[in-house]
Amino acid sequence: MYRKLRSQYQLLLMSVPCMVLLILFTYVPLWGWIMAFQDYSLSKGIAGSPFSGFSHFADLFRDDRFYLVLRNTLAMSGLSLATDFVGAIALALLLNEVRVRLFKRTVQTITYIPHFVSWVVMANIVLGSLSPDGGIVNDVLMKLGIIREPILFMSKGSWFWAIHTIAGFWKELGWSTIIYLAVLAGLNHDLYEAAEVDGAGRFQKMWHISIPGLMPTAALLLILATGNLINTGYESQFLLGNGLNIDYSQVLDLYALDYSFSIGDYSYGVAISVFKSAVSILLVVSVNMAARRFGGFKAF
Amino acid sequence: MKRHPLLAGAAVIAAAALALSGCSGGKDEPSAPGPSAGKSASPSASGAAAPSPDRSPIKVTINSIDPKFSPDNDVAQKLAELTGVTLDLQYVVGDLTQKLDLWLAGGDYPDVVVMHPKEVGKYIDAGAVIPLEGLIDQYGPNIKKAFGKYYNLLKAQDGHIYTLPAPYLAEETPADWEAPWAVQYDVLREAGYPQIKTLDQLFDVLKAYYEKHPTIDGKPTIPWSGVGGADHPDWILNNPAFQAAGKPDHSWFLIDDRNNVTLNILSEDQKRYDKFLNKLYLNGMLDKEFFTINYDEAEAKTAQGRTLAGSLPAWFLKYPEQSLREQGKPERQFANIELLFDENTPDHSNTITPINSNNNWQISKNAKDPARIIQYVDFLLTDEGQKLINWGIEGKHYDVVDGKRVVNAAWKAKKTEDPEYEFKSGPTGPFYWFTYGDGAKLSDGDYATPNTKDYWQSTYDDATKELLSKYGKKVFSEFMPPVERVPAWIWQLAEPTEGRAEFKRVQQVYKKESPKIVYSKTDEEFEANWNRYVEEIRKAGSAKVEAAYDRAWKAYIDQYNQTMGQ
Amino acid sequence: MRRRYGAADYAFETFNYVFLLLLGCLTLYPFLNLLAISLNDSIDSVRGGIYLWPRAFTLGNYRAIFQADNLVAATLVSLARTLLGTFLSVLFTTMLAYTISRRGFLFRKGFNLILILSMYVNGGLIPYYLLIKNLHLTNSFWVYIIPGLIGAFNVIIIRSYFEQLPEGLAESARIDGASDFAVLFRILVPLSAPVLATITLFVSVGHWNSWFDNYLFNSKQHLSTLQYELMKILLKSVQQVSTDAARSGKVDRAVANTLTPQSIRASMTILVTVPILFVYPFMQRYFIKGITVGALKE
Repeated sequence: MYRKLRSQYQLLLMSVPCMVLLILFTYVPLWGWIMAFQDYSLSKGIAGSPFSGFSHFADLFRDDRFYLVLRNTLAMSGLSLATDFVGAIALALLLNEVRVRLFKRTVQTITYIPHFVSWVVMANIVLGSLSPDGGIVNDVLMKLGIIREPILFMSKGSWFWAIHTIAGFWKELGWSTIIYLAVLAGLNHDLYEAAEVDGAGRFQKMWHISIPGLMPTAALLLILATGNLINTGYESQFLLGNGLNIDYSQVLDLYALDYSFSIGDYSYGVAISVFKSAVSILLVVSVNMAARRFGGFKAF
Repeated sequence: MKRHPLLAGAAVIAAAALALSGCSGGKDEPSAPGPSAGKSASPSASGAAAPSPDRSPIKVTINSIDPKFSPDNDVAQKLAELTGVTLDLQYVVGDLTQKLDLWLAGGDYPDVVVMHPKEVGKYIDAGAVIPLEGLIDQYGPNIKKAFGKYYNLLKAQDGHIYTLPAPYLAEETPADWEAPWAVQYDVLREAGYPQIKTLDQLFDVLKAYYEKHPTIDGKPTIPWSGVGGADHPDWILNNPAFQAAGKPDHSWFLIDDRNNVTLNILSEDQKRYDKFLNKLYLNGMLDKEFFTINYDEAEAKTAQGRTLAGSLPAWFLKYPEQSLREQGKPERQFANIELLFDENTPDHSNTITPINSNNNWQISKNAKDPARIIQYVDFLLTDEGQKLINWGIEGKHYDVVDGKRVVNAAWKAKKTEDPEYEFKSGPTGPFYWFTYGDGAKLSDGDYATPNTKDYWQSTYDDATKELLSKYGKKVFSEFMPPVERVPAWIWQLAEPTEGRAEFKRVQQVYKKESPKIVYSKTDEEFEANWNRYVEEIRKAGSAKVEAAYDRAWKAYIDQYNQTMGQ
Repeated sequence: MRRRYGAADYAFETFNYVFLLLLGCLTLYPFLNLLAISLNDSIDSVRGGIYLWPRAFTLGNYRAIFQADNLVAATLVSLARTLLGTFLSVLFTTMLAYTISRRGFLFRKGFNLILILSMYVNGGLIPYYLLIKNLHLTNSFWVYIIPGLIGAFNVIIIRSYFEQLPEGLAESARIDGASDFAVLFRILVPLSAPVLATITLFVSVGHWNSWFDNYLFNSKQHLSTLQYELMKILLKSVQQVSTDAARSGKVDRAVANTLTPQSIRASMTILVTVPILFVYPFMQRYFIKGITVGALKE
């Protein structure tokens, strides 16, 4: 053991300082989780606040609203995970087939621009396009004679998930593609050469070389992403949401924000955060185990 | 984006927050006078003349929520010259509540912490802000004088003063206040400038205009719209409801003569207003996107000139009206007039409070020399200080013509041209907070601030002047009922901790169910929807919310009455 | 025998180009829309209806932003944190990734698990703030660099890429007596240009766009970043409405050239996005390099 340690001193030199920093900035602040088991008040601090056991968790699980927002959270993140995952791989494969380099680079650069446009702006564009009062979508549908009366897109609660997914897809597709493009670029070129010599067509190369080449990264990203199914953020849902679709648009992060900020109940907010971490870890560990069992792949 | 309609012409009660913040005892005794105390002469007990103050230069850190404030404009420099105090502004670009919480947790708040009275409680509980009454006794004769009979309202329940709001000395409606209901100039013109008093009268006028002009500039006319129901459901339903009932603005609450507090959204007023919107809806006169549009989109729509009327406060109309003027459609601007459900209802909707409490100053225990800060504030509350922070420097920002102060023409032209210039040079900064308020007068009998009817009139365009002349008014504030002083607005009291989660839920039910009521097709459906809405709100815990606010309000009123010696 | 270019290929090519072109137009729209708004008169934009082309052209919005003080200094701070922060972060991330990709490394499993789990836990803002404060990192440039030095996600991505590389290369070098540092920097890094370029892009974009750490920890003017200064300008215009109302009497109905939040937001987005758009094509060069280097070494 000691000898092994000594022989790996270079590896230790490379990794230990990094790990110390990582643990310091992500794990040390976890003492804040104590708040979830207290009636925390800012003026008393952690040391002075009384303990309340699991009461915040009990409140959380008793709240009907919680199950509704949990459903919305999982549904919306599931939808965006699926579309983003498939979309990004498909776009990477399509871009990979483009041989005019300038065209390829231009499209690549353009598709990732919306990533930098804030949700405030994107939401306004989406809401403007879907408006029943001169929005382009309704105008086009009316001109084509598909509908007679403008559709009130944002009043239909059940449509919210679809609208949100499409908006998110539009915004993040290009950005998600970058990593797959990098992996494709790194694949061994000789394989393609050899396949061509064997008379393999475009789709055969795609199927037998590109896709298997992407698989390890894709599987890894997918596993990591399942851990984030419960972390949707709240900005997009908040900006696109309104009273008529609130039963579909409210997500866990927004619910938590309402409590920990608007209401000032830090303990409740932290309890939600602890719950989220537990779910994330459970998800990512079990998906990883499943992948190892059935696909022979593991992320860790 | 924080645009609180209720802050329009803001005024608030600080003492309330303190009274109810539930002090946990074990407070420090009033701290010993600061180091400079020895250098200052003791104050004369009666006179309002400040003790000859220490004017050595010191820097005081203070948080500023307004990044426009320039720390070294002409007025700030003049103040530094007169008092020795330079304010070192720490801008908070982001969520102030969050920052205040972090500061409190870390103990690294600035010398002066500026915050809303809602936030003060936690700072007091943590012992982060110091009691000021001893310092005021010694260094703040003008502070006492300015607050006058309301001085004791500054006290928290434990008898200490922790917070410095501003006195609110106005006796008339500030010249730039406007009633909440907006009607397009052209609608009024075509109807022959009628005296419109009620919502139903307005409805008929709108209907006539709408039938004649189903489109404006080729696009559908929108007879009634709001300020963006997606982000602000309370502004399109709750606020108009109590406004039409002629009741003072207690945001979500109604307060009766015996100081009982109830939720406005469960009241007959709310039902009546929903019914009015329902009538608009059934006549095809309600904006299709009334509930789904957001603030930005609502602003854009209003700027197109095809909205005829609505519950559209003047602050919302600022950019749209500017745009309309630039488009050469001044006749599409909006007149803000007063409306009620019923002509005979007494109108108590125009109110001010004894104390203006919103961006209050607290002195933290990090301040090295609290006495100097009190002296600084004391100076701001003298007539000389008021002239400086409201009008600016004589000869530069204002002139005295025939014994009256008027805004300097060159300065006015300059800031019209470059809005930034006002902040770089003019009387703007955290000190502005301590204004006596628009509509107040100094001891010389002239107005304390440049916000006068004459000034406003001089800024109007021809279309606005013409419209006002038809109604025999000088400025829009004259449409409002006479201003009344109320002990406080409930939304400025510290939020009761009890029932907070229930309140959130009540608001969510309200947000979700209200559109269904307004979109009812028949009277029976309306009744059914209303009843279900009431039931769901009750189920969400409205009784607990009402009880909590009722207690808070009554506790405040008790203190108010005690203070006022009744 | 190379396959001939068939009808299916032509059909696919046509479809592909047309599809990508359409997709490009669709994703370019928000940017063009913002560009048009940023070049349009602020008050004129209020009534909406601006799509691809400004209706009342002006450079006034940009002029107003450039008038703000401190913008040059803030840009320098942003550049410094982006360059230094990205370099250090990618360097340390790569080293860590290498160690946990090495079979036989004693702590491989443990470190892996700690890294992965770190992505899903969050202690909340208050403990984090206190930690930074107790480390004396508040009001310091280093708060931009040190806390975010190791991104677990990036480590895992690079690790996975390293693991995909042919085993033989590093192994033979090690047998030849090369140190771990030499194996990493002489052999693996040159082979990993595409993924390192990608991570560099991710990290640098994160640095360039970040303002939250500035808001939380640094109140000193000389440490202000570009994004933060721009946020300030945006907030100014947003607050215009509220403070005017609150302070009452300062709104001038005659004032014509105020700037609306919409125009500021548009110009701001363009200003901070354009530099990033220049970074990506630069990174794309390494996407190609990876292949050639890889092919040479094989």
